[in-house]
Amino acid sequence: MMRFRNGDLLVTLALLIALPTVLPNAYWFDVTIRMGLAGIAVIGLNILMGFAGQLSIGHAALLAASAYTSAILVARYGLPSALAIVIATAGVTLISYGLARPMLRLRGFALAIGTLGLGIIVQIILVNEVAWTGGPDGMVVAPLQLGPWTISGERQWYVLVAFLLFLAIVSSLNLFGSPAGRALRALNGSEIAAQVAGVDTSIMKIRAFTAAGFFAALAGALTAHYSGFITPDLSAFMRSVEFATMVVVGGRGSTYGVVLGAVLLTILPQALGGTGEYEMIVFGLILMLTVIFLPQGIVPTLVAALRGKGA
Amino acid sequence: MSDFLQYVFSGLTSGSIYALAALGFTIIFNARNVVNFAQGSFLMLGGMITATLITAKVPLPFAVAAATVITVIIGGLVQRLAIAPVKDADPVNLVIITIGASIFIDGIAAVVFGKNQHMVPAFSGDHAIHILGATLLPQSVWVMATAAVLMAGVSWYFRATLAGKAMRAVSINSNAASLVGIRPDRTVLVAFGLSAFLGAMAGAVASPITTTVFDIGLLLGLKGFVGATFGGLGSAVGAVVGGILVGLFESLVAGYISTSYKDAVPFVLIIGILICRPQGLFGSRVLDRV
Amino acid sequence: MKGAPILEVRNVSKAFGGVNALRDVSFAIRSAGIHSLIGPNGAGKTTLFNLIGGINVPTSGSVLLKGADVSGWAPNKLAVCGVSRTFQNLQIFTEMTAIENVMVGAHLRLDFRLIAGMMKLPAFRRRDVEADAEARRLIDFVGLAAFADRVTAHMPFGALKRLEIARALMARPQLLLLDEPAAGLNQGEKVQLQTLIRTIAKEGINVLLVEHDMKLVMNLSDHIVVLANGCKLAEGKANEIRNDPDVIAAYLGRPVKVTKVDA
Repeated sequence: MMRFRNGDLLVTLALLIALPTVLPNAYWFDVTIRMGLAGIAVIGLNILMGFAGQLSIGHAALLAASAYTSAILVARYGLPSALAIVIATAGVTLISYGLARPMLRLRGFALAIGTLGLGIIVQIILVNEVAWTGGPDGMVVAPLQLGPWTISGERQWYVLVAFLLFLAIVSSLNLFGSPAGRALRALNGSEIAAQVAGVDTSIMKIRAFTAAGFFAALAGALTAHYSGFITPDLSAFMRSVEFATMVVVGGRGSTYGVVLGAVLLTILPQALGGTGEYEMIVFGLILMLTVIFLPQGIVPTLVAALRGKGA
Repeated sequence: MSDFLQYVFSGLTSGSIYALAALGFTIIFNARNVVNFAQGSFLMLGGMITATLITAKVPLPFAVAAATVITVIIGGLVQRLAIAPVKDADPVNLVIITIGASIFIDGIAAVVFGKNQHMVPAFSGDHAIHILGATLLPQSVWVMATAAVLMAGVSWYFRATLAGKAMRAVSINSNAASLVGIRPDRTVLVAFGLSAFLGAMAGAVASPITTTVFDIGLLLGLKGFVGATFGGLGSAVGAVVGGILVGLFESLVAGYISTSYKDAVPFVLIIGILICRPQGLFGSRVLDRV
Repeated sequence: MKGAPILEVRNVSKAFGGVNALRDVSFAIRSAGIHSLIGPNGAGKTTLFNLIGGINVPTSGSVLLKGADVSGWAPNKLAVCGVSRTFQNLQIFTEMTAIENVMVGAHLRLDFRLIAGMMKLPAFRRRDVEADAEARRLIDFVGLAAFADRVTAHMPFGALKRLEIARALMARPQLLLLDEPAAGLNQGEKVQLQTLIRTIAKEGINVLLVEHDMKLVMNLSDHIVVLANGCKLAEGKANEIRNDPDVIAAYLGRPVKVTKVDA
């Protein structure tokens, strides 16, 4: 799978560069940027869910925590937004690390519930601490400033997000074929055999959780400054389900797969008019159908089919 | 003192609901080793269908009966269509499927019943009962009594009927069970039906005093799961005790500390319990590594 | 510790709830070569094997490696001490290719930090390439060169058993535990297995195997330990064990009184 490595990266880069030329208007730029941000977030979730096989349905909590942290650092403490993003990302990554050890003592369903609980706790905090967060009505976020420049307008944001997404893709692909990546995938395949080979499975799981937190935090802080306005809904259960669905549908373990999942499933709520109940019906159906009929996800199934036909 | 008693009554009431949900989780977990995320949706359906039928002037007993029957059918469908086709044992896949089923059902409920809250009149009036300075709503008595009767019924079912024993056999060793002629697939179907029954009844009887809305299932179900894990996933007694304890804790925290963080309590609890005593209160000790 | 046995099991007992799987078992591996652990079904071989491998914890007694007490150590800590093993019913990483499976065996020798993996700097890349080359040599050594880059999910059972051996060897172990390596193999494969194990032992790796195939055991072993009913029944060289009346009785089902005392 990794034979054509550099080829596919070039194609991806070319695609990212060419894309702005075909996007017709600001609305499509917005959708694409949101796809990119979701892509960054799910690349992180993929490390935890896809590589290491640990189910998390609280990913949105970390994203929301970082978004609000960055927003508050600018609004309350007057920090420059670029610095706020860095601090928020680093901070939430550290919190992920701290949470990882207790969380990962839970296995399977219990872990799912634990991460879900995390999402609910964060959402409750965001709703209740009105003085800090603006409560359920949300809060306004300052635009992103890098030095003297304000990143404004869809093209500038596109460049930033596309660049970071590309870095994320490269990191993830590198990780997949590295000893760390193999160790994570091994512990997913057989935890006992991985231990016998010397893998400290507890520590590797914690690191995977932290890595997932990092990407979520980065995506979250960027989302805050891009949107200009955030609400506690960012931490909602459905948001976490969306991320998990992107990973499952695109293909657990596959970097390109989860990015594809992000692309497909970002458009979907938009196409459904963003009304909660239809999104729930469709996502619910997609989750069930994918696991039953396409359990490996789209990209791995395609790759396996091609491999079966060819070599 | 009367405050304390008030919180205890409130806690026992919600605890009874959580206990029934927890029992539902445990029954399915024992039959098929899967945590049914859709359990909460069963509770929601019980309440929503009852509410809708009562608004349509259907007499209460029929409304509750119909709600229960419909929910049981849906529970069976979930098992048949979503669980049974998945042959492989990967627990992550099964959890994902039941999450999908849960949001699917909730979404359909939102479309069919609308997103607004539904009001259900109390079964025997709102005249509060005064005990030692605390008030107890008649509906709370309904909830606790129903829960007690159902739990006794389930206990009898597992101990005294052949079907119940068959289910216990499947939970202990499904291969051995099939060798003596028990059909695990059928048993899992019954397990889902039974859990749906418990959930629907709990939802119906609680509907006058909880928010009856399409997405209440998630939170209720989760708290039930917390109760089940609290008691040690797999132990029916543990599930009931766990559910009641979660209700009590939640109520006491809401009363003495802060109401707005009430919903966070069960989750802080579960994280704490699973770290300090992973096997729960009633689970057996895990001796070895794998 | 100098002069200490490679592996020593000292008065080890293991109880699972009310069942005594092992009672006061002691033996030692002092010399290089191939050692076997045999016994009728239910003797406790797998339990003892799992204790040595760190999967279970002894109820009492100790396991020592080169004189150091490693009782109850987790498998990954034992791996640091040079213990590696295969599994009777296979624990293959099914989503990974054969070569990737083997490369996990090199885990402790490589840089397994996540950030290092993500950045993939040149020095890092070089070590990975070396590990890849070594893995391919091992895959070749066990005769699986054709499967190297294939995903393991559809490989035949016999091939997967050899793959596990390659993975275990990749860890450069000093003590290789083979859990019923011949189970499920046909006659031809068993002959290949014997040659393989002999070659491994010649490289200086101590091998301890649990096996049911008596012919294989007698052909290969320099030293045999016999368990029955959770106790050690006999210990010695192949022809001693072969002719030991108690051992024969245990296998044929006649009740045996365990009278042997440790030498």
